[in-house]
Amino acid sequence: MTAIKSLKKNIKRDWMLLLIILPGVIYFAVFCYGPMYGILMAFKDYNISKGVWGSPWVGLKHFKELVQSVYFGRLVKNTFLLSIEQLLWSFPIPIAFALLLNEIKNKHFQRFAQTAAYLPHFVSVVVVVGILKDLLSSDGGVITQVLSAFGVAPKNYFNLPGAFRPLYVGSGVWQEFGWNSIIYVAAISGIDQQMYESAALDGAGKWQKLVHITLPSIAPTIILLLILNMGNMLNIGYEKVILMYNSATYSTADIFSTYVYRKGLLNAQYSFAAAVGLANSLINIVILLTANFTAKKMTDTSIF
Amino acid sequence: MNRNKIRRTVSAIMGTAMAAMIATGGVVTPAFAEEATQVSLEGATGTVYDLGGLSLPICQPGEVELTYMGNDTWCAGVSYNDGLPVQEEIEKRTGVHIKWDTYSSDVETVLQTRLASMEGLPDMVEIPPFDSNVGVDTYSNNGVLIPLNDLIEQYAPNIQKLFEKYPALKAMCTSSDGNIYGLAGWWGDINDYVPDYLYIRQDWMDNLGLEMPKTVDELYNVMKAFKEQDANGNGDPNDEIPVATKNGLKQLYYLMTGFGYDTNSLWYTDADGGVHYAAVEDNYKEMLTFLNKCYSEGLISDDLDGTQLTQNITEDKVGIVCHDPADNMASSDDLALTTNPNCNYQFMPVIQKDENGTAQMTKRSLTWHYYGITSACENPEAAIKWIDYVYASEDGRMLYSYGVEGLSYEKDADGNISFTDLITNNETYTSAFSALRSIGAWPTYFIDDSGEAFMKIFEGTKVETACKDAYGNMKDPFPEMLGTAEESEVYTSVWPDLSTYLDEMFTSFVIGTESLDNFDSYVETANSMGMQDIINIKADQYARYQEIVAQ
Repeated sequence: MTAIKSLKKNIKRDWMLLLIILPGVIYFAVFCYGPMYGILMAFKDYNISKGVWGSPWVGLKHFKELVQSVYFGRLVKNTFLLSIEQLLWSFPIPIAFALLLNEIKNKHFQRFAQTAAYLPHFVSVVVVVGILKDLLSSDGGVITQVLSAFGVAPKNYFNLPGAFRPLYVGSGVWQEFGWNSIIYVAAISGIDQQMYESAALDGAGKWQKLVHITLPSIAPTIILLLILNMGNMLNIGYEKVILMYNSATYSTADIFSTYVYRKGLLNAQYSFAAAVGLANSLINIVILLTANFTAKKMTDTSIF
Repeated sequence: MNRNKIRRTVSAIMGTAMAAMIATGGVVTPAFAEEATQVSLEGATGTVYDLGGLSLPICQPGEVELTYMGNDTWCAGVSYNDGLPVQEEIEKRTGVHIKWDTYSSDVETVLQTRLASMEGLPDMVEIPPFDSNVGVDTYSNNGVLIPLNDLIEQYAPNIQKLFEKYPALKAMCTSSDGNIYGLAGWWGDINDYVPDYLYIRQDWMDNLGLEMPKTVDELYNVMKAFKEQDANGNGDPNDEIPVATKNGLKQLYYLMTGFGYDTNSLWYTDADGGVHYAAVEDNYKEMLTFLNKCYSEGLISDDLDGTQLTQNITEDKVGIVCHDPADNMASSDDLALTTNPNCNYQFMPVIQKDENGTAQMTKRSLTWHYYGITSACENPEAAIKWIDYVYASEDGRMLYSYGVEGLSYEKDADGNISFTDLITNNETYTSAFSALRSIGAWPTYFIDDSGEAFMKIFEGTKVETACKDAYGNMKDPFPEMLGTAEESEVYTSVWPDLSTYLDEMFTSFVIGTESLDNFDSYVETANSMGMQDIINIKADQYARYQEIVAQ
């Protein structure tokens, strides 16, 4: 009784806060928790007219099919390598950029540089890949011409399996580093200026201020974003890969999502697609929990 | 800007046409009246027409509304939703209002998702996936598509006639349970006329004093000459690309005729009716060896997915375009003419193994996507009648191929048809095809392209010459039959991996990342991945096809 009473009391007292959180709760209930029953599809032979509940159970059939596919090993390898390479480059570069921006004393130039750097974020992936193909085309591409001036024979880099990941990651970094640096710029601007002043009094140079004040101050932000990024590690969308790969580069470019696109979506194998998606999410959760646990032990910063 | 302009032109012309009709006596008679027998139906207003057993209108104007979901027009920036003249004319004549739920990009994904959710189903649908016909089986088993047999028998006399005319169409529409769940977009008529092969720069050959190549060796010499000499005469001997493909390296399969195959599809039948897949046979290795040699010598464009093709053609760089239906030869000319006023692409004869070769060109695939009626349709009778009209009736076909009389074409006293300025001299849509599509003709739904109309569009051009040369000299392609439930099950689990492997290996062999010494182990791997199962399925399907066609 008292519990209910105090609950009522709390609701009465905090109704405004609860009202504020309501849209968020509804969002997650409707768009994240609601559709979760669809996971069942991964364990059934989904039949549209019978619906998710009415379709027959088949156990782990679709998971077995995935693991037994001749391409399973390659898919795992490609997906992991692409994710890791992407994280290695696209995570530190925005931090470095934000730190550099912070050192620019001319405010107008600083703002201009920031805006110019995040503009590519708004360019469609199709256009980015188109530009890339033009730059690298074996006859007349700007980059190919510059390289051939240095004696490198012109070739089409989109046909080289070894070039796929650098191209994918490089263009991704170019497109997103400015945008991703915004949050660090915001974190840096929140640092108490008095710390810099007192450090200057103690005779600290630019580098020492950077290492001993700026970096430690934004370290929690960096760790949080790192953990969140790791949780999304295997969620590489198929769109850009499909635009960039061809049968000459499947050996490095074919990843889970493109495989699901070809096999699951184009051939209406919904249950199979759901099974791959579920497996993907499980791996993501494991990575997320590991990263979070490690961060908690080592730095006391964590997302939960 | 351009789009507004064309709209204004269209409406101005429509306005004039209407005014003229009213001026001739106040009685507005639809153009097709002279062909139709007039029948009067009690309760119906306006004129009622009998078309080969189908009577129009299907209902009172606007009484029935049907939804169609699928591709939008193939004319950039023009949508059926804009109320195009042809679709408005169809509505006027049938009384049925169509709500267009059409998309111009990512169509397949949208369709799959909508069908899978079973909510908001349209009445009529273009059945995904588009690159194979497994959707007909999937969605009929799932109860999304309804059987059309009884409906066709009762209400669709023109579709019946079409089936009688083309037993192959009926065969390809019939599922293994004997029912018809999907009507295939039909290219059987137009494909008698439209060759789909390679075209070559005649002016380049003239510049270098070369003859049209007929055999593999001659082709190689021409390619070599294009590569090594300044074929386009711009002073740079290195900017020529001898051969480029439009949609990927796989299109080089069209050169298979030079290696003992009589076809440009990997599936073929031998004299005894046995079904074969070329990619695991020895002659295929010979072709790979040849292509590998060409590629390593820079005779084949390294733009593997064809994204640079248009640009390269425009820049006067491409000697041979591999493969494209004849009409694109004209648009390639238009592109290259902007750089080189002498540009002259010509259709190539089929490449033979040697002088005594008798290989023939194969027609394009007989069917396009499938179309069906869904279980959500409350008025399948009206739907099948509407389909009967647009897909198969004489009158619907006129609208389909030539557009609206008075707007896009005129007919003289002898019944000869000539296109108006809107089609032949359109500023926005320079090709007659695009101009027709911009008013809603040559639609994307219930396709049944007319060869005669195609020839009319290209009358007096070299495309017409190429088509006339090809007419009667092409082989029927391997039929694509609908699978049984078990066949589809095997196919969908084996084929995606296997075809990935075959594509990948083909590319690797050609560009040289895989040595041809490994050809035998490649065949072994393909077999271990289920190649024989797929061949057996195709053989069963071919047998069923023969059975239905023979009936």
